[in-house]
Amino acid sequence: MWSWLLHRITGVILVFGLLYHFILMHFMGHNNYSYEAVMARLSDPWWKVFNIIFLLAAVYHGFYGLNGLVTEYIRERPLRKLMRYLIIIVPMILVFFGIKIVLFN
Amino acid sequence: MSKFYTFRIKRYLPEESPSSRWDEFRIKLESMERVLDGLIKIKENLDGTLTFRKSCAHGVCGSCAMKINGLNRLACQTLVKDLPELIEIEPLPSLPVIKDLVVDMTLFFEKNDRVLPYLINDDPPPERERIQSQEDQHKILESITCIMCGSCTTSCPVFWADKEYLGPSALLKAYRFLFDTRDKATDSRLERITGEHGVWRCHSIFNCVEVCPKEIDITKHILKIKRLAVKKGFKGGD
Repeated sequence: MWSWLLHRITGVILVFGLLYHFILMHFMGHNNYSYEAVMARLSDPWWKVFNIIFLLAAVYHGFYGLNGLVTEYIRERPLRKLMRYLIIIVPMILVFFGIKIVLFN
Repeated sequence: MSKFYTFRIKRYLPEESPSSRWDEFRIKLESMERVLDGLIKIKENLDGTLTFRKSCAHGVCGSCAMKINGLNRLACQTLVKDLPELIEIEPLPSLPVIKDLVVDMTLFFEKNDRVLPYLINDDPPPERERIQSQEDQHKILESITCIMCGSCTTSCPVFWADKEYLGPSALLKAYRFLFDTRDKATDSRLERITGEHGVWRCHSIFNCVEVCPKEIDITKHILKIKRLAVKKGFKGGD
């Protein structure tokens, strides 16, 4: 149940997060991603918090969805088990590199 | 006004051939006649081996659910005038076919049994019936109209893929008792339906709502079960 509820919550985060991301990245004019603008943004702690939350939400939401597909469509037990492990390990690797890029670049 | 219709029916006769085939029958029907009337005419006049289930013929028993021109519906409730001249009929999808349009509903009813589909109340019975207010009745009125024809569960893509999934019909039955104010077994019922192949497998695809011959908004009922389970903090499944 908690995993399902979190799926819904991350879904809501993604809707607003994506909206913010799109407005910022695609509709704010070209000087918004000049070197100075990007560096200023990257050093803003709130920007980092937003990015990490956005990253966690996206990764959780996506991989929980995959988990659903595996539960419903993969009947062979060993393959299903392997996929279940991958569904835990792959997002952890993604989150590790994601946070590393946001915090220590 | 009468018109000729072509009935293209998916046949499966296990004693004749292990594979299924399509048979075509051309019959004249009045515009206010139903697909079921056509099937009965075919059986009586053209091919006596054609097999299908029917009982009440008035949309109450749920026996004659079948896939007509791509949609699961009741043959007794579908007027031929609302269909094109070519009418394609198949048995309900994803259940084992016994013969022609007759499917084995065992799996379907097993799922129904799993949600404890009966009133559970250990309080001493009152002198007369257990009274229910009109408002309480309205909470479950829509779900009570279910005739268990199997159209919804066999139209659900999750059920096609995952035969362990309870399916919309059984979940609707669970709703009918979960939200019945006279019923006391909320917790044990929730425990049975919140497992891995239970209520969380519903992804709001709405196929069940589209085909329900009683026009029940099944997805809405399942969502209400999810909300109740979240409120009660049920941990089962993921």
